[in-house]
Amino acid sequence: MNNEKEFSKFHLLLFILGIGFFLIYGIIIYQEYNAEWRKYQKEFINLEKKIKSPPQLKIYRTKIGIKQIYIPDLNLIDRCTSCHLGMEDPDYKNAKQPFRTHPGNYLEKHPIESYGCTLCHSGQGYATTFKSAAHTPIEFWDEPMLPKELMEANCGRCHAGLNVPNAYRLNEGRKLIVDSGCYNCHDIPGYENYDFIAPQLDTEGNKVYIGWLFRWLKNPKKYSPTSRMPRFRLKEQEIKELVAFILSQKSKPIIEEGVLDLSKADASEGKKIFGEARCITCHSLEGRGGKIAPDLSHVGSKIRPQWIYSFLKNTHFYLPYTKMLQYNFNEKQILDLTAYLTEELIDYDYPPEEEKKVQFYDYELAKAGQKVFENYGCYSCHKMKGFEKLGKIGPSLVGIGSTNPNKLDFHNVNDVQPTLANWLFLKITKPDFIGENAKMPSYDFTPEEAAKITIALLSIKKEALPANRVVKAEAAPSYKAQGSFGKIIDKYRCLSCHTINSFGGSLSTVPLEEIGSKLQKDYLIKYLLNPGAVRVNLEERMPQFYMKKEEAEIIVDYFSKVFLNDEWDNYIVDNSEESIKKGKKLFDELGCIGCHIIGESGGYVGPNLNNTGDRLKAGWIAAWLKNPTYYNSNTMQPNYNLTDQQVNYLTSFLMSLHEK
Amino acid sequence: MKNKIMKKYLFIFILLFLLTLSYCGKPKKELIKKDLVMEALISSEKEEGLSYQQSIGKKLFIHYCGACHGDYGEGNGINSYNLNPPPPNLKESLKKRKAEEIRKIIEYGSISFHLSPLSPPYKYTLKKEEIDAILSYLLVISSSSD
Repeated sequence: MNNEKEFSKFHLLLFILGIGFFLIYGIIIYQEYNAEWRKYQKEFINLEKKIKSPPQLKIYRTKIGIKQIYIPDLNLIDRCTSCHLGMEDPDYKNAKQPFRTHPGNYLEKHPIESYGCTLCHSGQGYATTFKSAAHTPIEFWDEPMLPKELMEANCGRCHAGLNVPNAYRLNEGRKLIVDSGCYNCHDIPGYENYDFIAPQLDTEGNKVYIGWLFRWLKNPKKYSPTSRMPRFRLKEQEIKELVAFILSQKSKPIIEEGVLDLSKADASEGKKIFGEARCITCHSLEGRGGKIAPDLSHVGSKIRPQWIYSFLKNTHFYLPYTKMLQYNFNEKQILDLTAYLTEELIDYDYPPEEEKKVQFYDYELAKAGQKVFENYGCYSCHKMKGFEKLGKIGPSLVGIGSTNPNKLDFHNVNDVQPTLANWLFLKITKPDFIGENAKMPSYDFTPEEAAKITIALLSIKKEALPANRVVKAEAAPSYKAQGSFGKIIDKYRCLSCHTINSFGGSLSTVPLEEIGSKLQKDYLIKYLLNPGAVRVNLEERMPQFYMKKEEAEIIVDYFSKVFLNDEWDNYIVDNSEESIKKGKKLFDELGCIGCHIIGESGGYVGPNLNNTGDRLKAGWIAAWLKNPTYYNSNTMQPNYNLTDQQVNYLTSFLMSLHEK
Repeated sequence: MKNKIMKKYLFIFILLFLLTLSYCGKPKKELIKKDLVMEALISSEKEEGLSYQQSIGKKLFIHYCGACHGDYGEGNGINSYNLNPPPPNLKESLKKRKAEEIRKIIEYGSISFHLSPLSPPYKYTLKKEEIDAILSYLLVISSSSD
């Protein structure tokens, strides 16, 4: 009896559950038939009837069904086109979402059938509803869709290198990583070839004033807003110890204090030399000037005159890896320059006489300072003997873009969406937000800069894409000139500004590997001995090296035998009167005078053309006129799409211009 | 014995029921927390009231056109004083032009409208997207009131 009763109870339960199941499955089937994507597809088919003509519809008509893209080598399955039905069809460019044509011309180079959608957009490719595709952020979701502002991060998954087409934010982020030297403390894939960003400190004890070093370590930006050194949040005691350690570095002797006599030196003469030698091309004064070398506005309150004197005299002995050239100054010039730098370029809050009074003898502290130096990883950026075997101080950033946001420590920050992008942003703008003990120094990036760096970091994913998908970075070139030519190239550090086969600095717009076919030999020698401004408008001019004539001859001899382009040299220009006349007419018609000077009048943008016939070679002019951006992608000289005949006319006209 | 089996079935049944029930659940609500990176990226452009494309256009305009036209198109660039005729104030002169006309001037130069040849053609120098960007910035300039 008892058993039976229980049995009927069970029946009842089974009955209720059965109905429950029936209802649930009913709902599921109903939902499936009314699924979001079906609704959209029906809507789209109605739209299609309006937009397409009947003959077009006869050929192709959208049918209801899940659309799926499968890309085996990327292991990618995307169903996005189930709703985004007009993506590749320009007829839908004014349709409402989700049917609108893909904006821009991105699909031309990245067709959907071979790239899919989520490779660039991220998100859940399998999903068939708006929500589950992760169109909008969902807390702690591993792979949400990237908003268009951050999407360039995904360009960087395939595109290595610093110049990704149309990805300005990514490019700027990557450039900031290079300029800030992030790669010195972190392992970052793609940045392996960069060297130490900061100078060696092995002779610093002879170089700087103690008071300056204190202030510098507290906040480098206060001395020089453009300084690349970040602000370490050091304690007072740590600064003391570090100062002691740095000042104990005196590996290279300098001229002694009593020996250097500046009493007869003329600072105003030094100022003239400072201008003539174009120091301002690399250094800056009060915010004006070059950016590749330290600001000199207050150098007199920083560096001892004895060091400046010795350094100018023997530059590469003190800093073997500096970008600065060895000037051929004579004794008087060096004394005058030293006087100018140490007497006029001073910070009046900290005049050198006061600085000299600060004494610091406690070298006991130096040992403790060595520990601080190690602890904060100073050796990562400043190459220093005895620290070579220590690894980079910061954690590796390999695969940082694939970090699971659930594993990130947001510490006390609660009002921010817990995404990887936000965590990186916080860390870059405020390295100590995870706690006072964080060692990463503060860079004082603007929010915009930090966001761009974040984008660059997000592009560093853990999983490697198939090699054929990756657009490789330009191979890091290398060039080392040999022999007597090499010695001169090294002495004047030509490659700090110029490039040879893409190796070298970016300050100059004139690469040297074909210079012998561009410029005439006599002009080259004259120019090296007395470099002037080819473009009036330009601030970054070649310095006056005070080069010796023999040196200039060796360089130019090498240029004219090796650094050539045979194609240009074989160019034949028609020198007839008629051709010159036609060239002149063309010159006027095209409005070249807007940027170039001929005679007395013309613009300041391009080079003065008055001595072209004594300066340039015809083949180069022709090649340049034909396609200027090929030789300098940043040039303002437009490509006029000239015919070969027109180029020849113009070339003959330009070659007929001689300085009277 | 039977009882035990029944209980086992019942257990599995309920479990299945709960499982199917979970299908009907809805995902979590959207967030209202701050998104710092997005704010940083958008605010930098908002300051000048430019979109991403327009801000790229501005950079390109300054690089390629600024020497004569000036950074804001007022015709006061460093090279403007060497030109005859001098460059116009684009804030005024572009008002009467349609977008497609402005594009034509960028692509084929001022000579395409029988003006002086001093503003050169950039069709073969810049990419189409770059010209689009410059055009979008010029449209901002021409529609500004001051």
